Amino acid sequence: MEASSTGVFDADGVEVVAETATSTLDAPARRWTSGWRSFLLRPEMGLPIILLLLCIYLSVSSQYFLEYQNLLNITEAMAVVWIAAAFATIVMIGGGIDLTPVTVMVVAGIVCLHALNLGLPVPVVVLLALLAAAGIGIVNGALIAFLQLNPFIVTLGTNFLFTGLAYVATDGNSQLISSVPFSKIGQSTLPGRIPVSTAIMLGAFVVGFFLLRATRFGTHVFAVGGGEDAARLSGVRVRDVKMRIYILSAVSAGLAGVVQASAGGSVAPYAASSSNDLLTILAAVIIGGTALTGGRGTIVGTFVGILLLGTIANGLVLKNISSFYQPVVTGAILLIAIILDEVRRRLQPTQ
Amino acid sequence: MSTVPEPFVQMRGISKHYGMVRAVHAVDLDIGSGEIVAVVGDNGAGKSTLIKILSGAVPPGAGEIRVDGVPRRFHGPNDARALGIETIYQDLALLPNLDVVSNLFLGRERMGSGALRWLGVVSRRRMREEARQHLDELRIRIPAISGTPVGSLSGGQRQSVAIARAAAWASRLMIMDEPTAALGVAQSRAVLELARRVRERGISIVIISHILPHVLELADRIVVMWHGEKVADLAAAGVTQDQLIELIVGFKRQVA
Repeated sequence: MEASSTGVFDADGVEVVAETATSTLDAPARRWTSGWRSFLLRPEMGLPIILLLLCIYLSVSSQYFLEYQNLLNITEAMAVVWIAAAFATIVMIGGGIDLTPVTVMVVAGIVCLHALNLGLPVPVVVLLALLAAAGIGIVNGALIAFLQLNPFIVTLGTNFLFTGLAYVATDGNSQLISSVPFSKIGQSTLPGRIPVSTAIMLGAFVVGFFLLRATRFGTHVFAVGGGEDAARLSGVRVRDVKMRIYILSAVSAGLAGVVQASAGGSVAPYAASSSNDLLTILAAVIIGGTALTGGRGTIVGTFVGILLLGTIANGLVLKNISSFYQPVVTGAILLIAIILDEVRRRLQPTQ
Repeated sequence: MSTVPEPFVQMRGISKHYGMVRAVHAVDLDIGSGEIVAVVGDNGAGKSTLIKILSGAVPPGAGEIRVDGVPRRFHGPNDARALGIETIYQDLALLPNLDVVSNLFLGRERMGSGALRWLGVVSRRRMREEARQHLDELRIRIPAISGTPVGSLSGGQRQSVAIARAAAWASRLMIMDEPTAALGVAQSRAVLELARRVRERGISIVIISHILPHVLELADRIVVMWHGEKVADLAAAGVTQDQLIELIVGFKRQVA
């Protein structure tokens, strides 16, 4: 151990201990966060730096990058999918995983389609879609929390199940939604030309951030992700927490599905099975520094992660590079992110 | 031994079997107010099971637990907790990814006021202040109580936090499972000292430990378990380590 552990950080943390030679042998809890090197290696620092460098490069090399409309385009392009990403982060911090968001989006869209065909008013339509989404969340949550089944396998199963049902319900065809008031949700803009879908996405991130950082639920999500048994013995209602996690995840995906159906004016069941969106959501969460093993992560990290992926997609367009390179870059960034995370962890003192 | 106060916990005829394995058999255990009772025994002697029954983590197969003379049935740790009985589990005492403040208040968070409470918002400020005050009272010195995960603290600091957590909520009894097993000499000494300070607040302590010098130093009374049975229940004063070892390995049976 280093000999520099002076009074700033008492090696034993307990006052009665005399300053003996043995006490310094016991791993002194060093503040590894100090020093600029560790600072830059913090998971929440790496991404903004990469994003910043990318933005500087793009703004220098392309005259269009910093244009207001282009910046809006970056967020609008994928806003719908990212609505679910905020809550996918919460799922993963809680030590779980949800493979159903894209399926839930399609199911919510189908519910919208049928409810609109029945002539129901738009708020009721949206409510029904969110309730259907919550229903899938309850199925996931009940299987995972009460039967204590593996979340990967459970949501893999429900993913197939509901994707199949979506095909059955639509005969596998893309269906048009012609309701004008419904289309306003995804196609109108707020003052400042900000698309409603982008605003909803930002709202989802603010809500997710607030839930994780400020509420008892948020603390308990971290606790469950950090160690289920210890959390339970500490008095955390682990089953309730898990239930809520999967319901929230599904409802946010349902909201994304409503926006998507409205913006696109159609529902397509094959979106649920052929889409890369699910993997992109999971990639963004991991790139954002959330541990797949749970207990560690931030909503802000995911947000910066999706901005990075969105900016890269935008940059490829601006630089006139084939968009086929987009998954290549996403994959490379994902790998770099987890390598950096591993390096950071190895630099930490072992416990 | 001087006069023991009226025992506030009385365990009578406690048994627990796991299939063919007899973990605990017909054990009686009393715990007086402000008393420190050590439970010792070899691996598999049943001391952990006995203590888990008392902490509510394991339901007894047979027998009765009375607290203040009232028969109680614990369906989980929360039932024991409601009666002022807190347990420090050996490996599961703290969440390594949460900071000291969150750990101290986990499951019992201080909530914000008014609409914030309704939204489930916690009051970090209140928890931080109370945590700081509580740690100061126990003379536990940890600078980074907020924002630094306890996983990055030293073993001694972590054990101090775990004890502080239990002491904060235990109004009657604190159960410690091998509190010094993973600690160095100086840190063990600090933890024993801390346990004494908790007792000074009128809280009884049940401690499980393999480390007999620590047991002899801390305990008022020592209960020896052997093959699931209680084979000795003695005042700690005057007992030697060799006598304890004989009882633990089963050479000698003696019930005081």
